[in-house]
Amino acid sequence: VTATLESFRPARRLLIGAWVAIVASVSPLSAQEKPAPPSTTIERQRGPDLTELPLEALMNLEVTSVAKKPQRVADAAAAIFVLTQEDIRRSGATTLPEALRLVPGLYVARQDSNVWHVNARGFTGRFSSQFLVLLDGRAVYTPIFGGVVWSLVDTVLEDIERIEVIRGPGASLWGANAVNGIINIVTKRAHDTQGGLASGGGGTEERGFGTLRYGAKFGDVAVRAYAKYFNRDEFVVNQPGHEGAGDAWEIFRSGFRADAEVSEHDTVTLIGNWFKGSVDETVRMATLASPVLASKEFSQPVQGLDVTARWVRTFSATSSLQLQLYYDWSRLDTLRVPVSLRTYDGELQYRFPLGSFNDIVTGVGYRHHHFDSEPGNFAIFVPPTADLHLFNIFVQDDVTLVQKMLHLILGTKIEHTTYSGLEWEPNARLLWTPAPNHTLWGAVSRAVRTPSIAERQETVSAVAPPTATVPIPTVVTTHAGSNPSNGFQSEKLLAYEIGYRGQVRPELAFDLVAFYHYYQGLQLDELQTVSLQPTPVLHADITSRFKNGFDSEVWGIELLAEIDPARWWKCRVAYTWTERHDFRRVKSIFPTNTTRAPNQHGYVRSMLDLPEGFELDVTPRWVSDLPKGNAREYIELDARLGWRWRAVELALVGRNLLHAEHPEFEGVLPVAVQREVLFKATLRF
Amino acid sequence: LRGGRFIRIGFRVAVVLLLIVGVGPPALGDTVEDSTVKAAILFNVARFTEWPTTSFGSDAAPMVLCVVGADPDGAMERLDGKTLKGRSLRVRAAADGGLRACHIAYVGPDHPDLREVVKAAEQFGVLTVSDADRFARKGGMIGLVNEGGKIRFEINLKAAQQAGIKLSSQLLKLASIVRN
Repeated sequence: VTATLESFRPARRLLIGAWVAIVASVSPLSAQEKPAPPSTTIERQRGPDLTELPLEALMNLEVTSVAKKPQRVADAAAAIFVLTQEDIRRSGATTLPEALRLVPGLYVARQDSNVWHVNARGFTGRFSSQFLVLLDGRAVYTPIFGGVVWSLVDTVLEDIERIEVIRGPGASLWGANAVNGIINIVTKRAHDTQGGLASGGGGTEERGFGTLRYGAKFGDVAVRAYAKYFNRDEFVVNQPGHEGAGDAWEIFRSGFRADAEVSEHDTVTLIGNWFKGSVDETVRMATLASPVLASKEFSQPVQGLDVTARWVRTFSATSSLQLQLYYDWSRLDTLRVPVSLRTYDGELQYRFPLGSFNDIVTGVGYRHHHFDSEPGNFAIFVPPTADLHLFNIFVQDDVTLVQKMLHLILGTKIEHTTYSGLEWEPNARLLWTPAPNHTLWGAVSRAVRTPSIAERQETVSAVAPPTATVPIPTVVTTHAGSNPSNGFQSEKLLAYEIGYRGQVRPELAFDLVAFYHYYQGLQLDELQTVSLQPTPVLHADITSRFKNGFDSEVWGIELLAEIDPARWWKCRVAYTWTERHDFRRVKSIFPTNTTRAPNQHGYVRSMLDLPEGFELDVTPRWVSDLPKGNAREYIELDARLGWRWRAVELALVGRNLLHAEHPEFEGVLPVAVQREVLFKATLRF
Repeated sequence: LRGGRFIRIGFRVAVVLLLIVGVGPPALGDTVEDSTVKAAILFNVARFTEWPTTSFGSDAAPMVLCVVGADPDGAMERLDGKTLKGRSLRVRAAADGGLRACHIAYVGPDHPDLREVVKAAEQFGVLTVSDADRFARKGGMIGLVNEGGKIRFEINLKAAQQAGIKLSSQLLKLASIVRN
C-alpha cells in the first residue's frame, strides 16, 4: 500500500499544480493574489529539485544545454542556420558533410565513399566552387580546383561548438567565393573541453574509427590535444556485377588548441592540426593504345598541416579588435595530378560603434598561396607552379534606423587577386522586427567567384572510346590558354533575397527564404578545334578552353519549420525548391547542366528523448531527379538509437536504411551509396 | 473486483504516462538541464554567504534574488518560495539600476553590459552571479562555467570584499579563485 501511495505522490503534485494553474489563469482574483505567473506553478513541478544536493554533488552532474539559438540568429539579415553540437551528436554522422544534410536549403550528395557535393541555390558538383568553408577561421576552400575537398575537412566532431551556415552571398564580410554561401565551423574553446573523451566504433561501412581527446588547464591557459583515426570501406559500382568501387580511405589526424586569457581584455588562441592518410579513387579511362574504358584504381596519399594564431582584444560589448594569422600546407597526390599548396594568411578586424546608431565592422587581409605540381596521369599544370597574392579590405555598417525595429546594413568588400584584378562586392540589407519574435529581411548583393589555378594553368586530357556515331577513339583536351587576358575570368552573381523568421508559438518556429540569383560567366569549356590525327592510331582530336561560357538564372524557396510538441520531442521539416535556366554564350561539346542540383529536396526529422536516458532520432529525406543520367529521385531513411548513462554514451546508427544501395550522383564510374549500420561508444572522463 | 483491478492497472499506466509527459526524461535520466544545475549552485553558494548586517531590514525580511536579463528556462524563477538561511526567497526581475533592494543578482548570459550591473551591485552589497563569459574576471563575484559538461564556479574575492560580502572558506575550497 505504501509503495502505491509513493508512486501516486508525484502525479498528485502534478495534478494539484495543473489545477492551481487553471484556477490562476481563469480567475483574475486569484491571479492578483498570487504574484507568480501561472506557468511558474507548473514549471516548479517539472524537473528535479537539485537545491538540496550538496555543492560537490552539483559540480559532478553532467549537464546538457538546450539548443539555445543565440539572439543574433534572429537578428541576422540573411538565410542563416546554426547546426548545434546537439544536432551533430544526434545526427549520428561520422563525417562533416553527412552532418550538413540537416542544414535546410543545403544540398548534399555523396558521389562515392570519399567524395561529397555540398552546395545550394541550384548548383552542385564535386568542387562546388561557389561555397566558402572556414574551419576555426581558416579557409579550407582550395584555390587549386576552386572548391572544397570534403574528405580532408575534419576534426573531432564532439569538439565542435556550432556550424553556422549562411546561404546566399556573404561576400562583404567573408570575401570572394562566398557566392552561394558560407559554412563556418567553430570548435569549442579549450576551457570548454576539459577532461578526457574517448570514442570508438565500427560498422558495415566504417571498418573502424576512434578518437582520443584530453583537455587540461595550466593557470589561465587551457589546452586540449586530440588524435583521431578512421578507415572506411569502399562502395559498389551501380551496374550489374556490383563490383567494388575502389574508393576506400583512411586518415589519421591529430592536433591541439590552446586558449589563454592574458588579461581582462585580451584572449589569445593557438590552434594546430596535422593529418596523413590515403584516399582511394577509381576512374574509368581509355588510352589510344587500348581504346576501351577500363577501371583503374589509384591510391592517393594525402597529407596536411596547419597552424592558426588569433588575438582578440575586447574594449566593450560593441567594440573589439582581432588579429589572426595562419599557415596551411597540404599535399595531395590526386589521380589527376600531384599537387601541393602553402598558404600564408593574415587579417585584422576592428568593430566599433559610431554614435549610438552605427555598428561598424572593418578589416584588411592578405593571403599568399604558393602552388606546386607535377605532371599527372591525364592532367598537367603549365607552368607547374603559381604564386597568388590576394589583398582585401572591407567595411560594413549596421545602422539602427528605428531602435529595436529597423536596421539597414550596408557593406562592401574590395579584393585584388593575381588572376582577376580588382573585384568589389557590395551588399545592402534591411532588417525589420515588427514584433519581438518576428523578423523580416531583404538583401541585394553582388558576389564573385575568382578563377582557380586549374582554370588558369591546367590542361586536362582524356580519351573517349569509339562509339556507334564516331567509330574511332576521340582525344578531348581542355586547356587554360596561354593568354591570361583572354582566359577564364571571375564568375559574377547578383542576388536578391527576402526572408521571414518567426517564433509563432513557443513550440513552433518558421524560417522562410525566397531568392532570385542571376549568374554571369559561369565556367563552360569553349570548343576550339576538331581534327583527325593519323598517329599513333587514327583518332579524332577535340580541343577546348576554360571559358566564362554561360549565364544562369536561378530562383527558389527554402523552408524550415521547427515543431517541438513536448520538451522531450522535437521535429524539423525542411523543404527546398529551385528552378534554374541556363543561357549559353559559347559553343561547347559539354552540357551546362552537369552542375545542376535537383529541383526539390527536403527532410522530416524527429528527435525523441525516451526514459532511462534513451534517445531515438529518425530522419527520412527525399531528393528529386537530377538532370539526365546523374541520378534518379530517391527517398532514404537515417535513424539513431542512443543511450546515455553518466559519462557513457552508446549509439546504434543506421544510414540509408531503405535501399541496399542508391546512387546520389553518377560520374563516369557510377557509384552507389550503400546501406550501413554502425555502433559508437563514447566515454567522458 | 476484476473491474477494480483493471481500473487500478489502467490508472498506474496513466500515471506512468503522465510522469513521462509531465516530468519528462530530464528527471529520469542522468543528465539534467544546465540551467537547473546553475540555479541549484547559486542557491547553495548563497547558503555559504554572509551579507552586511544592514542588508536586511528585519529578521523576517525575505531574501531577494533579482534576475537581470534572461533567465534561461525560468530556472531561477523556480527557486521562488524556497527557504534560504531562515528567510523566504523571493525571485523577481530587475531593471539594471534597480538592484538596491536585492541581495543576490543573477545576470543572464546575454546581458549586454555587465559592468553597470557589477558597479551597482558593489554599491548595494549584492552577491552577483552569472554564467556570462568570464564574468568573475570582469568584476563579477561568482562566475558559473561549463567545463566539459560539468558546472564549476569561479570566485572573484576582491569584488566580494569591496561589496562587504563574506564567502565561506568551504566555498573557496571548491571554486577557482580569479582576479580581474
